[in-house]
Amino acid sequence: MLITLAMFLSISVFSQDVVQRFFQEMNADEKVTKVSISSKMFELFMHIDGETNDEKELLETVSKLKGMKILIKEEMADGKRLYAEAITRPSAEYEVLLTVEDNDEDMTFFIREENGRIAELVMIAGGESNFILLSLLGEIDLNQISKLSRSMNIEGMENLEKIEDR
Amino acid sequence: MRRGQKKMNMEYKDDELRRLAERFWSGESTLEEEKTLKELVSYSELPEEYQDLAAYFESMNEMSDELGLDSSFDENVLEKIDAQEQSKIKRLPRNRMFWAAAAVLLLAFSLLFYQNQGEEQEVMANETSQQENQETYTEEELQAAFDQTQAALLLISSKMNSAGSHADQLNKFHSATTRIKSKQQ
Repeated sequence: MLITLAMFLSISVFSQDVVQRFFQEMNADEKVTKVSISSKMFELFMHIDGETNDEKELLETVSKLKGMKILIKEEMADGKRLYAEAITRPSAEYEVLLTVEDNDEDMTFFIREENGRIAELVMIAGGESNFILLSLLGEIDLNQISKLSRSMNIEGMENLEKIEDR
Repeated sequence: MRRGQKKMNMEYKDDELRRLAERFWSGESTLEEEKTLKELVSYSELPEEYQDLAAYFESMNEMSDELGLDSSFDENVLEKIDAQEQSKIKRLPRNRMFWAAAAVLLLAFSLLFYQNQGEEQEVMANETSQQENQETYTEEELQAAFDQTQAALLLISSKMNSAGSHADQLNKFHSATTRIKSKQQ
């Protein structure tokens, strides 16, 4: 019983989110663009009124989120090597949702479940000259997220231009 | 009347003899009971089934006489056994006390450590909360943060859909391959 208790305590005390740790490691790299949006900011988003249906849909998705961290590195030598290292970092509690590997870019989505719901979505993508690590926290509805770009007819990478260091 | 009393005494002795013999062979008899049993088996009208027991006691007496062991020998040995058992019993609680103390210390240390961690996390959470409350955002900042969130969500969404389109392409390839194979057959 004592051993079990000691193990429980040590796991509780010393476990650390590996994704968070990767963010901290990469934080020192000045060439990396880092974005962190707090839960407070997500609360403030609720004061924004959506005018179009797309905006309303987006606000509905955002209303369930609690935090977001983005790490982007561009114009780098070997994004695929960093990608290969990054995808080994998430611990066992993160499950691979989907993986795509092609000539231009490789990417893997991980999810972490809590009480039968997706509590975190992690996207790791790496190409020849770019790398992205993105973590989304909160109540995550994958269907709702996948609908967003379809309704707005957006192809993806062009959105990187909108993300600035914060 | 006298005859009846003698018969009753005989029945009592038989019963007592049976009870004491059973206790003796099962190793449960006390010194007092063993002494009584020795007296009973020396009875002249001893039943056949107890003759072995009588012979055993007789041989033991002979051995005791040869070795010069008197009745105090058993008492001395038993006293020593009792003393050893008591010392064992005394040692056991000391061990238990040690483990109990160790368990309590470990538990207290773990809980203290865990509580401190909890307090530190709470302080950090409060500090973050205070910082967040103290922070006031302009409309422009809020809009910029929202735009970034929108961009990030759209990026995830488009990537997920692009993975879906890869899956669609694979499905199309698979169905085309199946069609070709079926035509060939």
